[in-house]
Amino acid sequence: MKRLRSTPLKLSVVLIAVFTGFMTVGLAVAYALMHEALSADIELRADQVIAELATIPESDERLERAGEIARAADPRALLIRFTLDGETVANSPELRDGVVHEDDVPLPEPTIADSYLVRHADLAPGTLMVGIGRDSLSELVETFVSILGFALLPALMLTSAIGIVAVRRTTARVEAIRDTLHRLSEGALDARVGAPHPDTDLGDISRDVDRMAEAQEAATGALRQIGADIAHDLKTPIQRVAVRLERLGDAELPDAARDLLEQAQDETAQIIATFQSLLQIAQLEGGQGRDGFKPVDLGALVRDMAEIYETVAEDGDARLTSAVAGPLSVNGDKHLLSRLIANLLENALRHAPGTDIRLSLAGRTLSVTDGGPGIPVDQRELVLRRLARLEASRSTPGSGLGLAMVKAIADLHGATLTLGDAQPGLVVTVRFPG
Amino acid sequence: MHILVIEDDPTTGDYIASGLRAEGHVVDLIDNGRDGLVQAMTGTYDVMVLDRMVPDIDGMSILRTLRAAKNPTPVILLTALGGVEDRIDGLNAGADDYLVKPFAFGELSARLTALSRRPPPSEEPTVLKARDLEMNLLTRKVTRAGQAIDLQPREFALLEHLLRRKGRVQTRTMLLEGVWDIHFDPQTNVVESHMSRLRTKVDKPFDVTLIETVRGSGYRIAE
Repeated sequence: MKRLRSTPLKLSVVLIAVFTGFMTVGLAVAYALMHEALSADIELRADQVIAELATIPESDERLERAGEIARAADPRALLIRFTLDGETVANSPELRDGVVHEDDVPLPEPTIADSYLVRHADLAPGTLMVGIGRDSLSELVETFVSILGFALLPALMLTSAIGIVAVRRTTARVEAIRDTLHRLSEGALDARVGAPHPDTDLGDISRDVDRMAEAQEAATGALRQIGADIAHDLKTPIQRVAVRLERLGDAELPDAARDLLEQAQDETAQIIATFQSLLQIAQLEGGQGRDGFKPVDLGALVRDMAEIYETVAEDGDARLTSAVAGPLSVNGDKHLLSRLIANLLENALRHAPGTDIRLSLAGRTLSVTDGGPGIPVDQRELVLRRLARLEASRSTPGSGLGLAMVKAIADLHGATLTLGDAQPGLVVTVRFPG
Repeated sequence: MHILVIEDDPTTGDYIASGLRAEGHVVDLIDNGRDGLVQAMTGTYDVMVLDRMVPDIDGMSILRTLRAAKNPTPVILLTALGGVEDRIDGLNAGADDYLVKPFAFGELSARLTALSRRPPPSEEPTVLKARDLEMNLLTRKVTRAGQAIDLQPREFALLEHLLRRKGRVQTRTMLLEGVWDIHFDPQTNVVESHMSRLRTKVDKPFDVTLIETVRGSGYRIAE
C-alpha cells in the first residue's frame, strides 16, 4: 500500500491515462468521420449506376448498356443484375436490399468483396440491382488497427517505461529521505541521505536534510561536551565536599555537630542523586543506550522487581501485589527497564503510602496502580517534565525526576507512557511496541 | 597491596591515597596521563585506580594500552560521567569495576579489596561456614548452632553473597549489583529492608551477631 501513496507514481498513472484517453478519442473521431465519408461515397456510386441506366430511354439500349457494365465490372467493386422483359444481364445472383456479407453471395470466393451495399431500383421498364463492394470500409478498419498497433501501443509502452523509471528514481530518493529522518528522530545523529544530490527539487531537499542533520549533530555534540564538562567541573567540587565531610566524621565530634554532619552528608547524597539523574535523562533523550539493546524477558524482570520491593512496601505498611500474564520479550536495556519499574514503584510508595500497590504485566502493557490521591488530569503532563513536582508533594522527599526518568526510558524503548485515574489513585501504564 | 592511583584532582587524589595508606597499602599517586601510562606499563601493581578524565592521556586510553599489552592488573575506573553507555564503554575497554564520582572512600576501598582477592574459580565449596552458621549450597539448607533456618530465595542469595566474601565489607551498591543486579541508586531502603529480614532470622535468636554493620560503608560477616 505504501507504493500507491507515492506522488510520482500517481502522477505517472494519471498522465498515461490522460494520454491514452486523448489518443483513443482522437482516433475514434477520425475513424467515424472517415467511415461516414466512405459510406457516402459507396451510396453515391450505387446512385450513379442507377442514374446512368435510368437516363437511357430505349429499352434495348438500356439492356445492352447493363450488359456492358456487367461484363466490364470487377465483381469485387460492382455487382449488377438488370432484368427487362424476362431477359436478364448480370454478374451476380439476386441479393436482398441493404448490406450483404460474403456468405450470402453465391459466387466463387476470390472474386468477391467482404460485403456489399445492395440497392434495388425499378427503372420502368426493367428492374435493377446494384451491389457496391465495401472493401474500402474493411481497409479503413485495418488501417486504424495498424495505427493502434504501430503508434499508440509503442507510445504507451514508452511513456509507461519512462514513468516507471521516474517513479523508481524519485521513490528511492523519497525513501532515503524518509529513512534518514526516521533514524534522526530515533537519535542516530550520524544518519545522512548521502551524496550525490541530483539537481532536482528532491535533490535540494535531501541536501537540506543532510545539512540540518549535520547542524543537529554538531549542536548535540557541543551540548554533550558541555554536559561532560559541567559534570566534571561540578562533580569535582562535590567530591571534595563529600571528602571533607567524611574526614570531619573521623574526628571526635559533639553529638549536635555529628547530627549536622550527617544531615549535610544526606543533602550531599541528594545533590549527587539529582545531578546524576539529570545527566542520565539528558543522555537517554539523546538516544544513548539504544546500541546495547537486547531481548529482555520483561515478565521475569517484573517478578524480580516485585520480589525486591515487597519487603520495602511492607516496611512502609503498604501492600505490593504483582500479576504477570505470560512471558513478554522486549528489545531493550535490562538495567534501564528495571530502573523504570523501580521508579514507578518508588513513586507509588512515596506518594501513596500505606495503600495497595499493584504491579502488573498484561499483553504488552506494564502498569503500576496505587491507592493514593492520584494526579489531577490537567497536571499529568506536568509531572513528566524534569524537576516538576506538584505543589501538594513539595513536602515529601524525592528529586522530582522519577517520572521524567521513566518517560525518558519509555521513549528510548519506543513505549507509550500514560497516566490515568485508578479511582481512587494513580495508574501509570507503559505500553511497549509490538 | 601495591596500588597505582592516577587522579588529577589534588583533593580527591590525596583523599584516596591517604585513605589507602591508612589501611596499610603502598600507594603511588600520579596526576597526569602521560606519567601515569609509563608508571602503569613499567611498575608492578596489585590493582590500579584510574580517573577517566586526566590531562595528556585520558584514563580510557591508558586502560586500552594496558589491555593491548596483555597487562591483567585489575583496574577500577573513576568517572564524573555516569551515563548508560559510559559504564558499558568502560567495562568493554577492560575495566574490572566502575565507580561514579563522587563516591565515599568506603565504597572504593571495599571494591578494591573485592578486585584484588577474586577467589580462584577452581575450588568451588559446597558448604559455606561462619562461626556456628552453615550454608549447604547443594541442599540449600542453612543451620545455625544446629537449628535449621528457613530463608526466602533472595535472603539466601544475600547471605550467600556475604559468606562468600567473609571478612570483606560489602557496600550497599555492591550488594545491589551482586545480589539484585540493580545498577542504579534506589531512593528507598531496598538493601536495609532485606537485610533486616535476614538478620531477624539469622542473628536475632542467637547471642552472637554474625552480620556486622560497618558504619558509613556497608555490611560484613566477620572472618
